[in-house]
Amino acid sequence: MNDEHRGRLRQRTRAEERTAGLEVQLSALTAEIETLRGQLDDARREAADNRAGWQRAAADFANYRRRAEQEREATLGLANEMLLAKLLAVVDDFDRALAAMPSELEHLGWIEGLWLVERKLRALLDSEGVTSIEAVGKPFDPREHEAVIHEQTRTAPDGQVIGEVQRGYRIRDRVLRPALVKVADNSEGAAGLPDKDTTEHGAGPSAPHDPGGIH
Amino acid sequence: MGKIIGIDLGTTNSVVAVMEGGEPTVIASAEGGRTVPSVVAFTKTGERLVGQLAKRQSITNPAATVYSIKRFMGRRWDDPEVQRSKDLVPYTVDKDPKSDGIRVTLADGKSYTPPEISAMILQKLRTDAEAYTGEKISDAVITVPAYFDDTQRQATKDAGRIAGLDVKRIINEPTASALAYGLDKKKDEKVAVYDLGGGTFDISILELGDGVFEVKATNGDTHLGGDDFDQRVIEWLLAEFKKDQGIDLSKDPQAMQRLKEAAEKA
Repeated sequence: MNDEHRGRLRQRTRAEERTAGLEVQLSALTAEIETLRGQLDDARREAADNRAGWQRAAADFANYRRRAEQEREATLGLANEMLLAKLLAVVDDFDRALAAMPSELEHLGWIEGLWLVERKLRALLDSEGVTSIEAVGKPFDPREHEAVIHEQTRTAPDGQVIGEVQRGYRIRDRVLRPALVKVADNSEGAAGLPDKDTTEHGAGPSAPHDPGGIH
Repeated sequence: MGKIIGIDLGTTNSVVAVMEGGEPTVIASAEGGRTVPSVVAFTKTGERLVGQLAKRQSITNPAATVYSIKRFMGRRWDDPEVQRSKDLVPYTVDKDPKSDGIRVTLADGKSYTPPEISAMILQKLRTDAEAYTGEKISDAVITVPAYFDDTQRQATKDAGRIAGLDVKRIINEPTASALAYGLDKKKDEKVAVYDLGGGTFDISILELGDGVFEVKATNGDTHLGGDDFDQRVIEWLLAEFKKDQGIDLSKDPQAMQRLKEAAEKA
């Protein structure tokens, strides 16, 4: 019995020792948990910062890419427009040459070929979105027309375009080159003028023949 | 802080530029040009047009199309330049009853001071710059001829203020040219700056020391410019053609138009 009791005591002591050991471990673990929690919070905060930074950078990059794309398109479009605007000078000369064709040549097959070239040129302009601006008979509009002659007349209402000196062109919704026009003037003195055919000038020698029609 | 725009408010044409990545970039107008004609027009329908559009309609509306307003900026009515210029422009220039200055009077009785007209041009340049940068613009630097006196500089500042711009600096045109050529980074020297505009010709002598320019002398012809050169070329072409072909092209408006374009290009 004594032995038994002693043995129980020893056991208790060992149990107590274990308990004490566990308590020490517990406080150490609690401290470690606290540290880890702190580290986790730090890591989470850092992750959130990184995420926010990444999102900002991604948004910046998306904006940059969009703007770069826009600029590239604008540059290409502008280069195209400048080239087309230069080409118009040749188109004008071609129009004038065809309009001034001697009548005895008109029936030559070779001339037919020239008209085909002209049609091809129109088709090219058309495919690039270049269309001609209607002028004669319209009210003068500085957005599309440039007045080069102001003529006193009473056969057309004041401010109406009564002749085209040089055809204007639009590219899509923008004016590539305004039409150079003659504008009617009904102001003082105009009523005293003799009547005359004011449309004669507009349909004059420089009015180009337009078989394809890109009006 | 927002961007500051630089404006060359010229007699014939004006230009607006902005710094981008350390380099000045000229801003294209809504109509696509790099320069904006310094022209303001008031149409019969009450619309106000500025720049290219105003220029395109000018011959249909000469009395209400104001150009060369810079010739009147900050000048007194009795200034010989005013007396000379007012007879050369098709719009009406009167003495301002409230000051020694002038007013531009239109057919409908409305009248404007030169800074008010200039402000309309500045407003247009500002709008174009805002469309380009996508930002609101409120600050500007404007150039003026070296011979502009304090009153003329103040009138230019007033024009900026009316256009809603805080004019940070008024810079002499020849100084701006010299800066644009990077002359401030070179050694101390004297330079001559020639400025042949559409309607005026200026020459200035600048002295450079420690990166500061001093305008030593300035002179020029306020009524000589590129437009006069074009006119001479046209006259010469007309005379030559008449001599060779015996045909007077000056009566043919279409031929005159083509000559004018060819002369401008030449």
